[in-house]
Amino acid sequence: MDNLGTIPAPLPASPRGPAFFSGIRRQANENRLVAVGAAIALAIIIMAALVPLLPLADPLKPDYEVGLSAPSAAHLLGTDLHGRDQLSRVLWASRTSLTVGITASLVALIIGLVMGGAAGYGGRVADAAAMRIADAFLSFPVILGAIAFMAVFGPGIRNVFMAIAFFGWPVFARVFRSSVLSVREQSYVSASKGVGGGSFYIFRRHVLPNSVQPLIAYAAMSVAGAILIESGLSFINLGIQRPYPSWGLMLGEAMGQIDQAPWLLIAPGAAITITTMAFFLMGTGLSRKTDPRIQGRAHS
Amino acid sequence: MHRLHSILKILIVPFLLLAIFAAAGCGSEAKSSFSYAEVSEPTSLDPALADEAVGINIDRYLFDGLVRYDSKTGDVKPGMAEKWDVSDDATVFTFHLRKGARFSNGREVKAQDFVYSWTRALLPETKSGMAMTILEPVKGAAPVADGAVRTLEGAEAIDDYTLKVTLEFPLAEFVTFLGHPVCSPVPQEEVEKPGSSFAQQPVGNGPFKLREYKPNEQVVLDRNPDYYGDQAKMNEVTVKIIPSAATAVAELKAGNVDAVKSVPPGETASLKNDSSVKLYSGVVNSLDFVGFNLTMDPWMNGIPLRQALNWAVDRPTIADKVLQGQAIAADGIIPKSMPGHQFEAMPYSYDPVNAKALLDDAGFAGGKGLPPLKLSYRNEGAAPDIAQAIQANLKDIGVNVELEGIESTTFLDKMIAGELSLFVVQWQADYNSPDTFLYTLFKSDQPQNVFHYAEPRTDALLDQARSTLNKIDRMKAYMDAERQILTDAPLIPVVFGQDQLAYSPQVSNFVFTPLGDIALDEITMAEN
Amino acid sequence: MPISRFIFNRLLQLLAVILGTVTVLFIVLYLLVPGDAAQAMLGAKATPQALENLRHELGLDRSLPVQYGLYLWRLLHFDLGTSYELNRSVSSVILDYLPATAYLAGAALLLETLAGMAWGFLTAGRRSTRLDFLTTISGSLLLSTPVFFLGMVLQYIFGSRLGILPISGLGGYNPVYLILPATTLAAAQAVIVGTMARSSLELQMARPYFLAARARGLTHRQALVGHGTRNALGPVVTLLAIDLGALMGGAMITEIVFSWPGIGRMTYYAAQVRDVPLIIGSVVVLVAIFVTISTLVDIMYGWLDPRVRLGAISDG
Repeated sequence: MDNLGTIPAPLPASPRGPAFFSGIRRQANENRLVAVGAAIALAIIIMAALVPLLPLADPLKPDYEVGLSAPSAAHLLGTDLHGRDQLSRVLWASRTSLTVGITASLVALIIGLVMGGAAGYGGRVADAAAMRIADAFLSFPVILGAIAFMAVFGPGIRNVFMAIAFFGWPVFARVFRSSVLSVREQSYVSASKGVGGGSFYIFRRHVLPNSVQPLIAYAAMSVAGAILIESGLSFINLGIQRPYPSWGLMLGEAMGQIDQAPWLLIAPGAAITITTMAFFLMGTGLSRKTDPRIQGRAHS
Repeated sequence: MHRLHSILKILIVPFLLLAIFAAAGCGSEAKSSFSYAEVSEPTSLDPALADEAVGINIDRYLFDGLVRYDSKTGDVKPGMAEKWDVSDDATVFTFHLRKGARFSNGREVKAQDFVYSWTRALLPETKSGMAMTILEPVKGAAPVADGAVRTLEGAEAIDDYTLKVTLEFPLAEFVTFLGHPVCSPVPQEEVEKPGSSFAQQPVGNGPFKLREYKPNEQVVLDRNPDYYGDQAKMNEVTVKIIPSAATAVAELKAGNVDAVKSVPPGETASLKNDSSVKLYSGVVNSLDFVGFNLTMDPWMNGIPLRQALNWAVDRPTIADKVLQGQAIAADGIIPKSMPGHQFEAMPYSYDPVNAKALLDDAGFAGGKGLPPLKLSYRNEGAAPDIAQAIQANLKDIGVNVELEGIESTTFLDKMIAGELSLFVVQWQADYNSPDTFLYTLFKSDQPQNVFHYAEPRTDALLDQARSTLNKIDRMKAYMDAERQILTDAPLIPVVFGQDQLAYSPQVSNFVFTPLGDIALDEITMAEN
Repeated sequence: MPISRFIFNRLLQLLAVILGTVTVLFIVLYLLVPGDAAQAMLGAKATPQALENLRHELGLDRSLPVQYGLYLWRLLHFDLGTSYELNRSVSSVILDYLPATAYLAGAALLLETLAGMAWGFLTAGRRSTRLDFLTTISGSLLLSTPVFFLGMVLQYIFGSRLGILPISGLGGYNPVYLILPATTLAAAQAVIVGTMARSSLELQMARPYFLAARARGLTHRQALVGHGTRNALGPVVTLLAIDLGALMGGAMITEIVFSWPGIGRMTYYAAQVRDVPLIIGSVVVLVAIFVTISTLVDIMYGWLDPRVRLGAISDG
């Protein structure tokens, strides 16, 4: 399937077994992945934050004399049809993608916590209901959902946000529910209850710490997926609107000029790939640490 | 032995001569088939439903209406009607049909066929989007479209070869409407044949007939040997559906197609220097403009403001740089290729200094005092780029507008409902007369008057034009109306369309009409 | 639980998802969508009466619950309605475009299987952490590349520059036209299949039968290919089966980039012109295909492995 519209499943690690990776070397690997991913992600975030302070050309100002010019000293990455500086646009676009990606993932996380919590704490009926709803959202193609939003609300950044939040929460719900259920089954819970610990105490003391790490792992994956969704939707004109820069939109515009100005493809495409990869690596590394049996079913 | 030799010697010469003639004959046999690439499928080949360029181009040569358009000038010339009379008040048109013209199923075309075809196009079950647009002037068209009656009052077959058309109101230009495929005659027995799909297997009376239609692949037309008029030069025309322009151009260079109907800007640059391919720029009857909604502030009662904005738009740059030559700067509303065009109909040109001064006069110096403005556009074609350029032009004089990209159907709905304040639109001529732009868009009572523009002097001139039989006087009335409209500035004309086509040097007579069709019956290819 | 009960449950789930999809889409598109289909079909000069008539014919003048009920009733008879834009039955339109998508999905599936299995074989059993790190990084890189970017890059290199492969269209089912779009679609998935294959193979390599085979003198490769593969295939096949369904529904962007006349691209255009019956119809069909395949896979798994039926292995 298109690698759009799903939270990517983490790449499974090599399974444990005799004569294979020793525990320590595996751990080092996982740490390395997280480190590489986090380093790149952090660098990108910092750069995005600093963009307004950098001496960049106005990303919105057209200059028709230099339309579609190749990379040069004046314009390091060339210019687009309207003569706008590509370097500036690529950098400004990072702010949009990251903001949308991270915020929408947070919203998805919160919704997921609520639904997952309801499932874990609410008893069989609530559990079944919540999980069936989650399943329905999981099997719905996100792009089509975004198109439906577009048909209702018109194109725009709001669509992207809603698409990510709307279709991204099931994963969080599942993870959280898992944590809740597995903790509740432990004997120390009954022990705590016997001693008089209330549900909230158990929650704070056991469920929360247990679920934090996998949730962070999936949050990272969610941001990776969100960046892909945002760029995909902007590519087909459903996301960020002109004239504001977005990597996906820039690629969409480059498509019509691919013979005249092939350089317009490279920067936005590379930007999406690297940013997505950074979060993906973070997520993969973290999830390997928490669930060694990651055998993610890659599904929509 | 000797005898045999002699006989052989005698026979050799004629054989050699035969061989030479045969070879020469092969060589001088003209290539008999022509193919061109289109980017999209025709939505329907049923002429009543043809509403986009691909299908219309094909249907204009599968069917022959009462009149045809000259392929170079776009002027009306006789088609199925050899001649026609117009009443003094321009409400009754009597067409005298030629005899002996046939549909490709062998049956003769008669006046009754036109009555049937027009009625059928208007009937609700046909769901034709173009029928009312073209046939609305015919008396009784509305009740048919409503489904209230099933006969078209204004179309009457006096006899087999005489068609009398009565209109609801005077319309001297009516004959120019009739070259649109929706007015083509269709054979009732084929349309109503059970189990057949006329939309995919049309039967017509034109210079070509349909041989094959493979959806998403190609449409193949054969010359119709029974056509009453000039025979098509080619035996066969193939329309290949190639969705990507880059691929189409590659196919052209490889010799797999002979022409590409729309070459996007990205390709023309590389083709200019390619000697294996020829380029053609054809001005077409379309206008891209920015419309003002005169029911909204600040456009209402804001002529000075609207004029100021007209001076702010850099039309030549938009045509040359943004649209890369696929357009030419507009000098008025009526495109260059249309009868009734006048040079420099509008007084505006690109002059930001003047624009700022006028903005000041209007009371909005430096853009202050203007409400938040939104420029809406369709997320299709050249509109996004035009919109961005306009936004930049306006920003230069201090007017800040936000852009809003809307997808097609919603855009049309909103525009017609009067919800959009400022919008970028492309208007294509439905028929080759200034009436299609001026009356349809600017007459105060017309549903497509998206500006909600109402100026009595313009209305009077337009009505007068419609009732004037004398062509020169009529055109003068239209021209006066155009100038009045331009002064009132309910719009900012931006560019006229200019299609880019590419064709192989083997095409010796490449004809592209002002209506945006490749003249399939006039194309000739060079000797092999 | 007995197998029949299991199947019944799963089928019920299938119906629930389809119903859910139809309902959500219906509400969203019919209720909240501005714009009038009748006006769009008949043009601006249409008379008000004609518009009324068409609205009545399309059922647009009825209340939402009635329209919804009618739609479901027709759906039961496999009648998906009529497309506004193309003026013929939605099912006929879908049947026109579905084969192209199936063709592309099938080719992509084949490619990703071959590439994935090769990857799995090559990387299984290697003892290097370094290799694991590198393969994860390169796999991640491929997974992170958006399909439209990959597609356009391939188009530029092989089409515009080298001119050796066609970059758009179906080409009358000529397989050469498949190469670029199928590769684009398969690339990211091949990584997933590959890592899954590797994991699966390595699990086999830890099994006693494998060690025994090695002890008998078979080389690593012989043991792997001869014995390990069969057993390792299970999870991979499951993955691929589900992938097929997902591919069918998920190829929209690839189809747009390559102008592939498939159902994904058609849905996108339908959405642009608000052809509501066509949008709902194609989404429903795609979701149905996907969920049906998932269900079949579930049922098959359930039949093969009784533990699944009993719910002992939690589904996530």
